[in-house]
Amino acid sequence: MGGFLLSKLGAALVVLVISSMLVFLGVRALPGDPATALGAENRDPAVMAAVRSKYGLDDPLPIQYLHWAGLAVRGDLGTDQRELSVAETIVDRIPITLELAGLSILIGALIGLPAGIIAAYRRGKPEDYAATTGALVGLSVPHFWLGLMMISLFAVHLDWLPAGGYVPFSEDPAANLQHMLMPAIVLGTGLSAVLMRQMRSSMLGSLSADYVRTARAKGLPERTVVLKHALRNSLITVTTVLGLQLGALISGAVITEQIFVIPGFGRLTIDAINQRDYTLLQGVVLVAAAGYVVVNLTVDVMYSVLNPRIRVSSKPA
Amino acid sequence: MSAIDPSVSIELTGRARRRRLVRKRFLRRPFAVAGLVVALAFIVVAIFAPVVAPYAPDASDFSQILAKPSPEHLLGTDELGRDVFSRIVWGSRASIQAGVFATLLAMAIAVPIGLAAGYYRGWIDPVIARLTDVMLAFPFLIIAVALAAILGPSLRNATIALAIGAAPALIRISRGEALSLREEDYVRAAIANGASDVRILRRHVLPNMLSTLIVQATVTIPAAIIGEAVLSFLGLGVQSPATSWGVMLSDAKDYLGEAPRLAFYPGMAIFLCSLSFNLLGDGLRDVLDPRTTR
Repeated sequence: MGGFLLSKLGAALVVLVISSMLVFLGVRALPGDPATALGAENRDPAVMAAVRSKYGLDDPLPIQYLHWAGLAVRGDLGTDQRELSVAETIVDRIPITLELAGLSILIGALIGLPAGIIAAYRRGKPEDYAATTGALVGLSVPHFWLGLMMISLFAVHLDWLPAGGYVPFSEDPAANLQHMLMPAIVLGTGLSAVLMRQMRSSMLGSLSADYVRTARAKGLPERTVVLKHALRNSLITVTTVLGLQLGALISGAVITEQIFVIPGFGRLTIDAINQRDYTLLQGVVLVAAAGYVVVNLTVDVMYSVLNPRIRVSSKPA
Repeated sequence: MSAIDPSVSIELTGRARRRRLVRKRFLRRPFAVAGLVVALAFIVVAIFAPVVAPYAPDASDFSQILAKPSPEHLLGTDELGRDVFSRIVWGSRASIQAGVFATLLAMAIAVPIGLAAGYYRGWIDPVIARLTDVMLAFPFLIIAVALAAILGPSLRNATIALAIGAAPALIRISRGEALSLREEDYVRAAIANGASDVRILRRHVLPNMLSTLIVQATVTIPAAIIGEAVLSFLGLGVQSPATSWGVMLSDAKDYLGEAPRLAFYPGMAIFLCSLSFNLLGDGLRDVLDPRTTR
């Protein structure tokens, strides 16, 4: 078990280090000289040189990387063009996106999991066709378009919900949820289609497994067999898929936040690009990649805790 | 491989029989057939856009601004008096182009890498596994946005970004296939016969993973079509005045109150187009999956 965890942790660290190098190099590859941006309208060579040396822009790249990575490990992601701490800005924005992601996962799970269970249990019956067709529709709908259509119907024409914007939960919980409802539905329905398909296929697997036959043979009520024995095992795979969906969720948040004018992490990314704010962009992408790696490491570890066969059969890579 | 070799002729008839079986099974699935027909229709419309569209995509008629649907303008006109139907027809070019080329490019990147990892194992496999993990760690849209910022926004660059975004999943799939195929008896036999690696991969491994790859390609296309729309919507793909469904949605978002249909039609086009490819992909999966054909 210890060896397994260690190898997983090692792999995650490798991924994180390579990712950070890519972030660093990728940001250097962007057109435009940050010294020009920082020196504003002042093109005086002396000022430019001062700016370069202040931000370490005249060091060789490996030195710049080590310097940056060293500070990043200690939670210092530098300051952006407005001299604000990048780390603080990100920490400010993340809860907004986490709330959106959390609500979306909730909606996705509430629709997707029961639909997947029913579809698997009633395989080949009308319920199954309805659920699989629904999932296919869900995968084919461009979700940002769904968002536009919902704004047009519920905000502009019916005036039931605000078209966009954000109110902190601590200020006004009701208004906060009103603002979050449409974005969360937009993101959540997309997720529900993926979850439904995964749930259905892993439930089909566990429903035909020997332990389910044994449970039925023991005379356990059908409810217990399906909801306790089969479901518990299927949930393990579904959790893994949820971890892998995090990247899609962040991508989804970028466009959803753009449409609903939510000042979250996704909007920050687009802003950083539009303003050519290197330090900010670097921090944002690094945090997104690190978040993905950490979540998937957690999922891997949970998976091995829940499923002893993985620990035993896997050799350290 | 001589013509009188009996094993060859048996293999060919077997393949022909399998092909006929696959066709028969496919035609028995109305949704898959409908998907194929609609997807082909979108491709035909994209190719023959100049013939199909009644107006040029950027032809403005300022006496007909935000006109309702009428016999002259089937789906009405937009805020610059441009024919919405014609713009959707022309816009299909960007979507089909991005969908098909991004998928082909992703395959061209992913399949050789996946094959190498799965077939050779050794040190190359974990290295490629970590690299795919790294690629997956970056949310696709962030890669695409960054690439568009580096390379400049255009349909070509959006297509490249979409291909890079789709590659990691395809690498994993082709690695898995190669991994299981290399254990097959016919591959072992070929190795024992002294066939070169290139020959084994080309003649034995690749043809046997083709059906999986076809299914994957069919489901990657709709994802890329939606991806193109997202990028163009954010201003990182097709640039106005050139048109694409994403550009149309981006223009329409300011008119949700007065003319929500401007946003409705291009969205429906994206939806129908990606639904048709998804239906086709699902049907192909059922038909081509060797576990169900045997």
